[in-house]
Amino acid sequence: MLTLAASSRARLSRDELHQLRWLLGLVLVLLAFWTLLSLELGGLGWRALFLATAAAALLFPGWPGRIPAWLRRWSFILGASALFTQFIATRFDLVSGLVLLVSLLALARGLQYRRLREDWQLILLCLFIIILSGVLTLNLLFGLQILLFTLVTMALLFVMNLLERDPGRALTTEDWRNFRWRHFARKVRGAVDLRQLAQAGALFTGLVLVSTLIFVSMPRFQFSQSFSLPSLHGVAGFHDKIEYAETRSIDSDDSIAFRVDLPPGYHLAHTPYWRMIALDEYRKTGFEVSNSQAFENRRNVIRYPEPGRSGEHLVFPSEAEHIPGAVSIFLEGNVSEYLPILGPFDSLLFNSTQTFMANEKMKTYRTDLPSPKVLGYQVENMEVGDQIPSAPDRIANLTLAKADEVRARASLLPYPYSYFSLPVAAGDREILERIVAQIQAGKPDMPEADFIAATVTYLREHHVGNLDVDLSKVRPLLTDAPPPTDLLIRWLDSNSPGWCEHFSGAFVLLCRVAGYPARVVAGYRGAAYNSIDNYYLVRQNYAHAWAEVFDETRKDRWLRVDPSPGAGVIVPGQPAVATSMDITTENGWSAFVDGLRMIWYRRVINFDQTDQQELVAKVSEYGKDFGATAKAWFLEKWQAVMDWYQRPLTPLKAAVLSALIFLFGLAFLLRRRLRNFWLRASARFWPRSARQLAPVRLDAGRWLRIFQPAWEAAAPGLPKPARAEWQKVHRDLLILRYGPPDFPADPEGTFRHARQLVRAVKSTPVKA
Amino acid sequence: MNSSAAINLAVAPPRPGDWADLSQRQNLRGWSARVWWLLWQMLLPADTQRTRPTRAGAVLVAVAFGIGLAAYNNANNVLFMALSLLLSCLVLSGVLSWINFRGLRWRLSLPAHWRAGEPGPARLELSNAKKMTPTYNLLFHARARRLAADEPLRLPDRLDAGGTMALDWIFQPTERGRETMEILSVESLFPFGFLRKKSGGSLQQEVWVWPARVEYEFKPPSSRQPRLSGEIRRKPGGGSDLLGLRPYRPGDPPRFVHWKASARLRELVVRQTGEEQQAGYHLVLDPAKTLWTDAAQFERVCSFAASLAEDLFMASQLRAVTIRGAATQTVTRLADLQGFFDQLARLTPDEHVTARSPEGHDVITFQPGARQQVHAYLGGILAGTA
Repeated sequence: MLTLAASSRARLSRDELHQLRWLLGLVLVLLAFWTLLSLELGGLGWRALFLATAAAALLFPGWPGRIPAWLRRWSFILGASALFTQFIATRFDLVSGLVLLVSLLALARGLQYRRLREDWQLILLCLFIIILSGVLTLNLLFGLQILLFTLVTMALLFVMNLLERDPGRALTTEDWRNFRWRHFARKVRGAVDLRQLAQAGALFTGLVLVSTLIFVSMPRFQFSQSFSLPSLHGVAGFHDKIEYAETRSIDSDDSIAFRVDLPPGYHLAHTPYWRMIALDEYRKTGFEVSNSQAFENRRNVIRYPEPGRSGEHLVFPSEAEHIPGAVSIFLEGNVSEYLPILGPFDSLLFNSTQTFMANEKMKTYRTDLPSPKVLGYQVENMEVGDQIPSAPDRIANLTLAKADEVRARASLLPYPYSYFSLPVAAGDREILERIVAQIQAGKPDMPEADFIAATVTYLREHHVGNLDVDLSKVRPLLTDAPPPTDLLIRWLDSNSPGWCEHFSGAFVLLCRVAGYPARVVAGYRGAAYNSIDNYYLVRQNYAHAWAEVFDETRKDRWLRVDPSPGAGVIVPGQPAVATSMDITTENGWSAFVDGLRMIWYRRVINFDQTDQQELVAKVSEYGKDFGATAKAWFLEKWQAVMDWYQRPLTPLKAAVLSALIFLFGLAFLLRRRLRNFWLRASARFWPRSARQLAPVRLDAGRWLRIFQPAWEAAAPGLPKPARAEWQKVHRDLLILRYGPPDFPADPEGTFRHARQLVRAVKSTPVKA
Repeated sequence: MNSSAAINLAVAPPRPGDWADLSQRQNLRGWSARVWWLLWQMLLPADTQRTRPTRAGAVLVAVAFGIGLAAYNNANNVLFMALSLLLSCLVLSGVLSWINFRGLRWRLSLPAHWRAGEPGPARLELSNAKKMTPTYNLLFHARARRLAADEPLRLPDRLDAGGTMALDWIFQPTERGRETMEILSVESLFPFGFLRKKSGGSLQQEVWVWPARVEYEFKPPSSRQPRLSGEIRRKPGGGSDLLGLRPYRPGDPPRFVHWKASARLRELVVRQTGEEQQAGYHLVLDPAKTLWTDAAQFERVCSFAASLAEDLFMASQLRAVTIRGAATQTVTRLADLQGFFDQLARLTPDEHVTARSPEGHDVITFQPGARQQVHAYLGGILAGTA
């Protein structure tokens, strides 16, 4: 075999290519196991072990060959045992079992000295693992991981393609005996051309661009959900009850609970109160959701998407401020099953199929279970939540007396009497009544708004905000009697510091004693503004509890009251004045990284048909703008030239015009020389490209395509001299197309000759 | 006579028009025509223009279908992303495959002749005219049309940018006559092995196959042995006629040194004498159809004539050859003999042979014998059989 290579680059031998193939397969396994680390499967145990095993095999490729034969024989039994143990440990959780099974198979294939067919199996297994991890986590890291996976897979497929001739070849321990990473890396580096690397980089960039194009242009219609993707069970970090204890402190957790994307141009002017759950019943240990409301929370099940626009519709066209457009909220995994909402809204939309429950009375919304991954949803035309509409039920005629009457009959107060639930002990009630009397200051008929303000003032005067509370040593304010058994009453009847749960709980109890239905609301207060990517984020340490009091005057709404000291002065039912503590600004490195995460949620995870339409509209608008701008620029320049041309002839103008005419004429006369000059010049600076793109070669190729069939058609009937003429033209065309760059044939003459011959054939009538 | 002697076959020099590539297959004017052609090719590709998924490609399509189904079922953008990456891999595969074929040229470099029954070299020359990108993983399908023999020719390694490479294979024709070698198609699994892209080779070349050698016996009667005729040939030899002078070479007999000329030229020169001509034989083949009624026997006589002519030439005992109906060809050089073989390669039984057959004591003629044998007669006396 004769080989005249233009390059003297080193080439990898076939054995080295097989080694490279095997190592790339292991890199794939490592990538797949890396993605598994993001899964919330409880304990890292076997995943870390698998990852370490694959890494060890990658570092010491000869090691898998020394695995004892008996271990290989028993690997299936061991794997099955591990799987069974996993099933038992996770109480037959299908997802974790599936992940373990696929990981075991991938590890087995990864450690094996594979043939080409087994490489394909490994690729499929790793692809399955990565996609499964992505679906289960929706993590930003998944974007990077799948890109790396694509890159390595393409490299592996490329090497496999080079080794297509020996598909049955599998490496042995002997092949790795003298393997040294440094030496191997040097050989690979020597075999790879930098230009090729640059080309590969460009192609990969192209791949990402094409992939993005396909992603955004793929039609986003949805079939009815005939099967569900696997999912993990999340764990709620947000509690749906408030329990008071003698001593307790709250740890500050600054992890992100959710991110909020407001409509363009809209910024939060007032402190946002993100409602999640309303607690109506007071029991021994604290506030909870009453049984009837707990049932209500799960009764109204809505499956998204329903035909038409689904979600909640405003029943309370209030005068309250609302956010025009859609607010996108991305609730982090394992935060809560309750959805943070500011207030009433027009509709609730999810970015994928979702089942949720709407509590019409409390105006709270929840999913069936806490999501283990980010849950994205959009709320359209949401009010800022200073006033919450009341459900049209019996609450309007509710009084404390009736509640006492119901309490006498039942151990637990049914809704709506739960809004008046108070400590059962008579001594506790007496303390509450004493404090209410002190607040009313001899004016039992004082308006509700005044009472609320006075109560907030009372609480703030007697207590300060603190996250460490020790109620075991406090003494009542007025008597030396033993402290009450009810811990909240004990706190209320003292000067002990407290946090939002104490303030809001005490405030609700005082309102109820005064005859006003009230409830505690738990959620988050405030937000941090990411100035890099223009969105808000809410951290876990923004968790807050406040109160809502029924408006006894209008009897159709609940008014938000935040009695906690940090909330500033609040007029019930009016927007909360934002302080710098409530809405902070973040713009550092962490804000940048978090911004990337937000882009991931916004542009990838939450991308839907509406985004597609917006994108098309923007592109169209940009195209129109660009066209209009270009047209205006051209017309302006053209007008300037025409103005100049229409001015009276001056010597300068005459000289310029003459010069232009002369130059055009000269260029026309010398067009062939100019063309040759261009060919020579371009060949000097970019030889190969010039040869490929040279007009002469292109023309010759075009003429060959025209000439050849004409010649084939005409050849049988041609006399010998004419045939020789055709042959000469054909030969010259071939030389022009493929011959040496100095073109021994005359291009123009050859093309002209070819044209004449072809025309002559076409004009000759076909003989019957 | 031993029939194992072989003639060195010269490789025909490449001609500039022999290169083929993928750019000469369409004669279309304008973009719209090309687009329509492309669409039509997608719907109904030509037999040599096929793109078929491999097993891995079929698995990829199935995986993409599954992911797409799950993505649409659940409106999950992670799955849409995976799907778009898979699809873009297919697009990239097409682009890389196009780049792989681009700038690639090939041509057949075949010997001027083959001989039936004897292995002969064939060569496919490849050239990568691209500036930067090598070409990988090509498989050419070569075919001998008459023999219906296919030969897969695989590019064993990458063909670097601007490099050339030759793929050699040995072809063994079985019958004399015209053989057409063609490159049926070029296919590749590059770059990822998802699709088997096949394109027309656009190349064919004709080669004449000389008759096969046959085992034969040829024992001319002693009375008909060729003798030295006294004629001198313009060929260096051991005769007595001076052809010229040449520089002395070690081993030349001192008696051939031309001392006067050596003294004049100041270097040793020797006399070079011509070879004395032997009388030799005149081989005559009558292709009359009435004589050769059996086709197999006709093939045998062609082979017999070729083998005998070759051996006589090697023994410097062939003076001339004649195929009845054509002019007599004096055989003095190898090219003359090859010309005779060419005639034999093209020879068919002729119904209208009118020329008179040469006669003489050194004329070898052929006659059919029993059981498909062929006899050779020297001056009318049976001298050999094949």
